[in-house]
Amino acid sequence: MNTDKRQAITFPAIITLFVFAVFPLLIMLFNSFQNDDGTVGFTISNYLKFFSKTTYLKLTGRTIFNSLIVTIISLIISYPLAYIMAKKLKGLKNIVMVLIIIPFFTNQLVRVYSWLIFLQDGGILESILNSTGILNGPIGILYTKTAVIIGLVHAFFPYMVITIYMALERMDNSLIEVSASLGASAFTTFTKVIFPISMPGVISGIMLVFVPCLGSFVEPRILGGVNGTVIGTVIEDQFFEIYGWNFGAAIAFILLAMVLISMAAISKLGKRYDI
Amino acid sequence: MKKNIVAKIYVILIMLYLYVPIAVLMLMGFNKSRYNSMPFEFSLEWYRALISNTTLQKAALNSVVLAFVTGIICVILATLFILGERYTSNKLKLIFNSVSMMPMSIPWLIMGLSLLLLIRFFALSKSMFFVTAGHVVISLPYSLLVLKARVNSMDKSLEEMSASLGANAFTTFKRITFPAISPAMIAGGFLSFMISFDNFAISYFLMPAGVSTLPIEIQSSIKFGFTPEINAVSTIIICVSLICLAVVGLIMGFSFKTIFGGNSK
Amino acid sequence: MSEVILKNLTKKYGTNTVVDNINLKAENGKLVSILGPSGCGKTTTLRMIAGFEKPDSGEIFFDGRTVGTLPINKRNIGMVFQSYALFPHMTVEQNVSYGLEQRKVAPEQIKIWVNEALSLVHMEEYAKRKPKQLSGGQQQRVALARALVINPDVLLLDECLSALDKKLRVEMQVELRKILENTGVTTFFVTHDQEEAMTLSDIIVVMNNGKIEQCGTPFDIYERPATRFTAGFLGKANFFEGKVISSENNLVTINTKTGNITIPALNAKIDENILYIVRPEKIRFVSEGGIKGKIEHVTYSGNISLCSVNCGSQTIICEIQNTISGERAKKGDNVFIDWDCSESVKILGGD
Repeated sequence: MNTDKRQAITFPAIITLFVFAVFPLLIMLFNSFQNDDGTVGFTISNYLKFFSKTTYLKLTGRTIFNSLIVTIISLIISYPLAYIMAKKLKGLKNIVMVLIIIPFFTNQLVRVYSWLIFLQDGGILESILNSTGILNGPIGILYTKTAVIIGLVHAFFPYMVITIYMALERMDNSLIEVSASLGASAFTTFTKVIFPISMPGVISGIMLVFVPCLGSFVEPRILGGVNGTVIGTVIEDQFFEIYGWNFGAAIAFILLAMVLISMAAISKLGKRYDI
Repeated sequence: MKKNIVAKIYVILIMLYLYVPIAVLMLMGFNKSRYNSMPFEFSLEWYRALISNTTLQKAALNSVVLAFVTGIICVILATLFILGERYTSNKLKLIFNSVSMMPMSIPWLIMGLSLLLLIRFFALSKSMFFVTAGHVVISLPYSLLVLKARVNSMDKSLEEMSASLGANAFTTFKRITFPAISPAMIAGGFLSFMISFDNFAISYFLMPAGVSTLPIEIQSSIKFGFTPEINAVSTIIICVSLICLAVVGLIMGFSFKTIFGGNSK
Repeated sequence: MSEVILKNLTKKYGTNTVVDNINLKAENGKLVSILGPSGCGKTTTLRMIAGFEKPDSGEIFFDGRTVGTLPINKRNIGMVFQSYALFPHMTVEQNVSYGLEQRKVAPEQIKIWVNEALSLVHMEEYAKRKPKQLSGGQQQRVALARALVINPDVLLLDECLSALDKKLRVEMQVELRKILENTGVTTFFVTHDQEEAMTLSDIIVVMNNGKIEQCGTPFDIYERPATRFTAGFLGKANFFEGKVISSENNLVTINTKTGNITIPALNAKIDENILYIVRPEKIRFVSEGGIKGKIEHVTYSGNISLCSVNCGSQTIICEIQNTISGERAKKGDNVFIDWDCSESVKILGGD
């Protein structure tokens, strides 16, 4: 059994993945150790450049901070929604579920574009706010960090809703009843029983929001303009504006490291709540 | 009862957040103003403009063809992989699994740029081949997840039964395995189709000059001054996507839980 | 530990009445089984006692106090579910401590009581384990310890043995009985398994269609069933139903739907509509006299054999003890069957 011939049919997929995913990353790694000034040979100057300039370090900090904000906001709005879906809505929950999933199947750029139109000066949000008297004058929200965060939360929070919902849905309702019968208040039941048991869902939600946020560049660029600079947009600029490809490759690897480290950290956190 | 009303209002608010911008975008496609600004004045002008806009039409066709090819390749690769993976050793299975799921966790920005570096490294030129390869790599995990969920829940003794009744491997696949997994193949293919159809990053980095897809067109019109034609085309994309989704959903009775449930990173 | 009284308890889901005006009294320290087929309202009754469901009308008293307005967490009840419902993220010890923590018991005291409760169910060694590391029977014991440690007024057990396999279930029945006798807590036990109800209970309440069919000791329920349903639900029974045509010398002739039959029974009034219930094990084969019949079918099951005897108008099921080896009855035999006339349980008016 140890060399079953039938396993050969996995090779087309494995070869494709190695040639077009693993190998290019190795080339990128190689590039990140090359100079952009044309000199040939191994150098760590790209990495040194990144870590010695405060601009880049600040940028890294900002990217992580942004992703954290997006994750926290997503958690705050997703948990109640998932809880309501799992425990309160009966027939309606499937409809709400479909409504949560549908945006996954609308184009990412269409969604970003729709926020652009919605938030722009002279757009609908502005006229609504002006006509209700909440605001007087231009809204000025587009091309700010706020706009980027609104757009990123919109793009990623549904993942969180789904993972938390599934954790809550799986949970045996008699656990809640037992907790009450043992004398716990609704609040204690939530903090001691419901929330800890839903933790695996929360953790996978965090993973599915935080990690893609780190590597986002479309939303920050379009909704944030000059205020939306994050690692992703800087990498893109290195490749298409500045032509510092090797430096770009180095930053890309630093981003990749951030992604992998945060994934490892989050799943380690998840192990603690493993049931 | 009061609590339930609060809960329902909350759900409605979230739904508004999810859908209002998209609704506004659709609405503005019917607005006369060139700059998506108020007051609203109904007009079909932008849909009419679309009819004569061959650039957008070409881009749309490119998107569909690319996504279709990607979907087909992904289903074939994923089916072979999932069926073959059952016979590999546990150690190999672990490696295979992490490699196959890798493109899901690595930002597409990095995937796309690394392919660009590959092209440059071998002094090749950008071509549809690499665009397709990039799309396949990032869409494959989704096909894999759906198929894996199905194959894992499939009773292995069915295949063994078929073999014990004298069927050869091919017949067993054709008569037993294929019918059992074909709904998942369609669902997985559809998912990969959608991932490819939506993808901007890979196409944007790898597309040869002069060729574009819808997301690229949307991006460039955002960059170089947009017109409500883009709203009109976006509205059409959304509607077509939803119709496809509904059709696949109805035919498959396909549970999206498999996608998220099966993904235990 | 208290006396529990259910008074005119009714629960409806929409137009469907699940529990229909039931009255029940459980004396202090007694184990009351609520027995019935699924959908008979037994679980709903239990859930109303617990406070998970609000009755549409009627009242529940613990020791004379009404608990109708009391929320679940103030009722002081112990509950064990079919799924055990152990908190998966807590150790055995933490599970058992949970209720005491809610009662703001001092940590040192909690430790002592938790240990006592765990030793009561023989689970001291497993205190640090997580529920998923325990077998079904062990989880069951922990769930019981968790419910008992808070010293509840009432203990509620919802089909709590039915997830165990047969051998373990029988063992747990005996043990459960012992534990509950030691603690002396008033217990309601919901089950659909008649054997389990018989073994465990002081009192059995038979429910059907939301109503109480009969309430009594296991002996009463089995030997003196009050309704056709009770007789049929608990063990096997022969039914003779119809109008009495003649009655003398403790032989009663009944006109049943399928014809006339004369059976041993205490004298009855002529023309009365009547239902007699006779348990198969009360019936014996005699060499002559009694009812004549032919054996149609024999099911051998070791200690006993079950025979279907065709007596003309009706087939009668008899259970015979296989006290001697060798075939005592075989298919096709012509036999005479008889029983003591006092074994025919009479229900007036039929069903």
